[in-house]
Amino acid sequence: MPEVRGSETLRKYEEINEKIGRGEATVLTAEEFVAAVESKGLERAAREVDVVTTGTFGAMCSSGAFLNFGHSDPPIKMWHCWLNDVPAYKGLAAVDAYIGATAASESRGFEYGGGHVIEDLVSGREIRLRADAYGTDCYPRRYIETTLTIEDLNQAVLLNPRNAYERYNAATNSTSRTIYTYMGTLLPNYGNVTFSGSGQLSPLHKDMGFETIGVGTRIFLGGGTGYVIGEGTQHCPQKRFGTLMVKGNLKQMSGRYLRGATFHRYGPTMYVGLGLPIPIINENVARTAALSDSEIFTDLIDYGVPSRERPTVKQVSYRELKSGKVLIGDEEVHSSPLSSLKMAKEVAEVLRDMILEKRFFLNRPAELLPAEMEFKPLLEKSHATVAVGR
Amino acid sequence: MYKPEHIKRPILAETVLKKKVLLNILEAKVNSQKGELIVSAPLEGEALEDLIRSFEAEGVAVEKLPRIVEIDQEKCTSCGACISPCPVSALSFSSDWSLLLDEKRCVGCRVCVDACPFRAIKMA
Repeated sequence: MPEVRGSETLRKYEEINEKIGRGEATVLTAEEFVAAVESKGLERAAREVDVVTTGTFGAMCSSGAFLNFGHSDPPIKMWHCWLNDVPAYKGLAAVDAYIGATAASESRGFEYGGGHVIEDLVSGREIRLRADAYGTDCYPRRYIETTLTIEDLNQAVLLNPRNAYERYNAATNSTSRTIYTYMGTLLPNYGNVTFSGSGQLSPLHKDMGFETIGVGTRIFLGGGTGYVIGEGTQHCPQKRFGTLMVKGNLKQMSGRYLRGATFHRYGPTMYVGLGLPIPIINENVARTAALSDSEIFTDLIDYGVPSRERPTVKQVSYRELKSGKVLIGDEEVHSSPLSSLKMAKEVAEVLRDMILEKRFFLNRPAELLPAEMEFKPLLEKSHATVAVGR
Repeated sequence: MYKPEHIKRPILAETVLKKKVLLNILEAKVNSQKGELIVSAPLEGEALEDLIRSFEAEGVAVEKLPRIVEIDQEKCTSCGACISPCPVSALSFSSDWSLLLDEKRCVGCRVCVDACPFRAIKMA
């Protein structure tokens, strides 16, 4: 067991990249690596395999894009701004905006949100921009309405504060009516189970020691290349709830891997395709990269209870979840994912092929992500006024 | 499809008794002007044609629906959100995790239409 987190005792980043450049690197998807370890043993597989690629394609609500529209003539300091009737955040400079995945259209409601705007933008479709302003001496204009495509923009940066959860809860519902949640439709009386996360393909779970992932790590993001810029919000690695904050150039991404979505009676969101390459730099990394669905567990939570702390029905492996049947008590309950396992596999395979085709090289991060972080709740504090009298 | 003059007679119930067939009403929209029912019958071939003729003889227009829900393959990501809420297990995964629909099992309850995050499922 290496003493220093991230120690490169099996191979160094430079060696890996040299091999990639010579077309001699051995790169497997995480599923292929699990199979290789099963047949050859961990030690031999760790010696032979240089990089393991991971992938996930699921709903990632904390996602969005920073856009710069350029200046109109006369110029406007946009105060409120809408893209296809979806409000974007304008508390920045005159023509900088942030469109968030869960914002909803003011004319179409939940059926069209920020994620749909981003999908339309990245797919080259025309977007309607509307903005108003209070007007200043230097920005005299008060209103603008125009159409644009992604090519008209200066910067279009996908910047997602929380992506690629290491794992997520599975969900069920003990109440007597169907409930509609961010974990999908949950039938009454433990009628079904939903889950999210790609299990043995999960980017963060496959480096659960956080030995290779950090600031600057190059990743597959939305069909193009992106970078980890730090831990994501609510990052809690010691409880296996690590997250990533990521960015990338939207102009080189694809609508296949950035999809607007709506959860019925919950709201809009965006599905993001994300893949992490894991260099097998030491034995510990090899061991975590080899974890299979039967060794990756999560909690089956009763979402029927409307409070922050919800009851855990049982611990369940991703193998059981992916089998389509979860045992609750004596009953076999149908289970299905919300994140696409087919697309997760595709992301891992595309990233593998990008590396094999010398179109993607790995990099040592500037700083590893924290391996431990407190995840605090929101406390309701009151400001008591104390009157002191004689 | 029922016309206003049919409102006085319980044609569906009479047909069930006459033909001794277990009909399952999947959807009914009936008002004073017209009625439209989506019905599933556990029949095939000549027996099914005979049932259709029986309704038509009463002046009820009948249309055979080839499938009850349709999946738009361009929009579907095979995420699986529709699978476990389906009460009759009409949806499942193939061996490569692609979404499969068993049309014979579908009863048109529409749970999948709302459950799909990409609005890839609609009634046919």
